[in-house]
Amino acid sequence: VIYLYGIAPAGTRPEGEGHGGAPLDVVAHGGLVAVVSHHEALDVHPAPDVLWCHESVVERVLEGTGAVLPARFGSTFAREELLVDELARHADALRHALDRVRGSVELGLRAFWDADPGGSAEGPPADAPTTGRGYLLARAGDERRRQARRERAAALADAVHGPLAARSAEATVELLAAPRIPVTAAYLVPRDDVDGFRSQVDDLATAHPDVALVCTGPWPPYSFTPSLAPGLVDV
Amino acid sequence: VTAYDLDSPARHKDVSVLELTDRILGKGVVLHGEITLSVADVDLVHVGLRLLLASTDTVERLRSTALGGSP
Repeated sequence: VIYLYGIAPAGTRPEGEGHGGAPLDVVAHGGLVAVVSHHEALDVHPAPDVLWCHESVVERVLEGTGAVLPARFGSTFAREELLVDELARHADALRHALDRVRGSVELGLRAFWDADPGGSAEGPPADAPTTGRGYLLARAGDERRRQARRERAAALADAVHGPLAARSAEATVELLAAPRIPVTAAYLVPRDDVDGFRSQVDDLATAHPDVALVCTGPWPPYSFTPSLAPGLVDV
Repeated sequence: VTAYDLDSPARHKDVSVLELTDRILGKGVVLHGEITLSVADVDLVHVGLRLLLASTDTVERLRSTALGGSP
């Protein structure tokens, strides 16, 4: 079985080892290189050291070439021809995506609220309603709290994500990934702007003492890879 | 990978692995090979992640580090 770590430009020669100490290899086609390792049998589980193994391969390729499209963890192919077929089928989209991410890295941002401004919609109500009318009132209250939470999250995204997205080549944002996480965002940032980006996050953190802002990275551009397959194969 | 402004190495590692998991399991290019993790596995990891990230303890630790150490 072939395990795929990522897609890089032609000429990429990855060094070192992948899962289980297997040497890294490449499958090249149409100006693209798939960075892979070969295994008799492979059963990968998302344990931290196994995730970091995948990540460190991708990071090494990124450092070596300046452009990589990281693969989703756990991508395998039964035979090399199947991988070559996919490289051929998606060649244009993959080359275009490599051009977009070349020279840039991904920075992540999460904003946390100290307390859920909508209150806990999941928790048990203070006074359990015993009548139909009480139930409906409680439901309406929940809906108001959810609405308040959505509005505050959107306002925070405008204030914090807006200026960061404006200085990035591309950006993604998700509101309320969890009730206390109003903003989860990713930015595609030129390598030479990473320090400037971070000092802007510092400024935003100072301006918004009611939230904790956490910026991570640089990451390979996981959030800026093309979506090619119609859906995940559930095996 | 370096987590921004997190002074302790252990803390740094915690946050980094959460952020990595979110990316590596939920994003990244999918050629039409096989993803060897079931969707249910991935969902479980994500649910766990979000619970962990949203826990008061995690937020408290992140807050003090993100703001440069509150008293």
